[in-house]
Amino acid sequence: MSIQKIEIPENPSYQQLQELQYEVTKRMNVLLEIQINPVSKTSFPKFIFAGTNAKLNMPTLNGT
Amino acid sequence: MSIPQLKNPKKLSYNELREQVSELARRMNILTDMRAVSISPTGTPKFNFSDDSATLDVPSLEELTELTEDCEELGEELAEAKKTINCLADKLLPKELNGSLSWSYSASSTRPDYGPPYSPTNPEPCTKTITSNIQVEFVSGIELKFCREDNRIPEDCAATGSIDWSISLNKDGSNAIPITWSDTPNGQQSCATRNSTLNTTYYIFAAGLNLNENGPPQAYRYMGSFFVSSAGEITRTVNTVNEFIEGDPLPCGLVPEPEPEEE
Repeated sequence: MSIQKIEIPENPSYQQLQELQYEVTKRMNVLLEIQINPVSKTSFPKFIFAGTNAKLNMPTLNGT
Repeated sequence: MSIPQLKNPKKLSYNELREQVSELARRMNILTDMRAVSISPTGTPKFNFSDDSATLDVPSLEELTELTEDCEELGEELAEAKKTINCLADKLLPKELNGSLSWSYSASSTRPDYGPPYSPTNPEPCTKTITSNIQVEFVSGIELKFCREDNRIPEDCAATGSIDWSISLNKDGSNAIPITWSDTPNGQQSCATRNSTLNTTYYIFAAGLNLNENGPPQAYRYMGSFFVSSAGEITRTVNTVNEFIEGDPLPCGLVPEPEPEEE
């Protein structure tokens, strides 16, 4: 299941700003660890961004 | 169009910080929804990050796989076609154009039924197929060696037919070289060496003789030619005649094409 979008308040308070900054940083770190997942050559490519990991299903000639 | 890069000043006011973090979060949301899209197998993989969406173009292997499978099927069809071509080539061309058995001729010979009692002097009626091959080789000087090999099937059939080869200096069959062959068993060669004229083309003819006992001989058929150079190199030609009997299956598994419908 994909991660939910970040809610962005129009005029965030300092605390909300902190939470936003924290969430963006956390997600950025997850993106930095994105994994390429080889899948069957007949499968469709797919990007999956979960809360704790991000992966890209990539069709390959030898994928299963 | 790609999204512009974020400015990244070292010092931000509180309002600027709010805007910066909000923009980061907005862009992160776009990235979160990134879609991977199949594109043509010849396309270039590409990451697109616009102001409202992010996509990753991935060349499709499915179409490539289909093309590969098509190629494999075509390869199989090609292999079958090559088999047919080789089969036809075997039937139409001698096995070794530049070696032995360069020209081949076949005929059917029949021993008529003269009625019983049958004996060695009055054999039973039968029909045999005679296949004769002939070759020529340069020996040395001006000498050419001719060899022929005959096969008669069935061998014990007493039909008296034979195949005659004529090697002539003229294409009309005249001026033939006299060659005396010995009567050899199936599969054995009879050879003769003759002086020749170099830089000359020789013409080869074949005919069945006495195929049905006392019947008329066949007309000589032109089988091909060979040219002997001054260095003794022999260049051969083979005259190929295709004979098909209506109603008989075509050779090499060929299927006749349907006749076009008349308009």
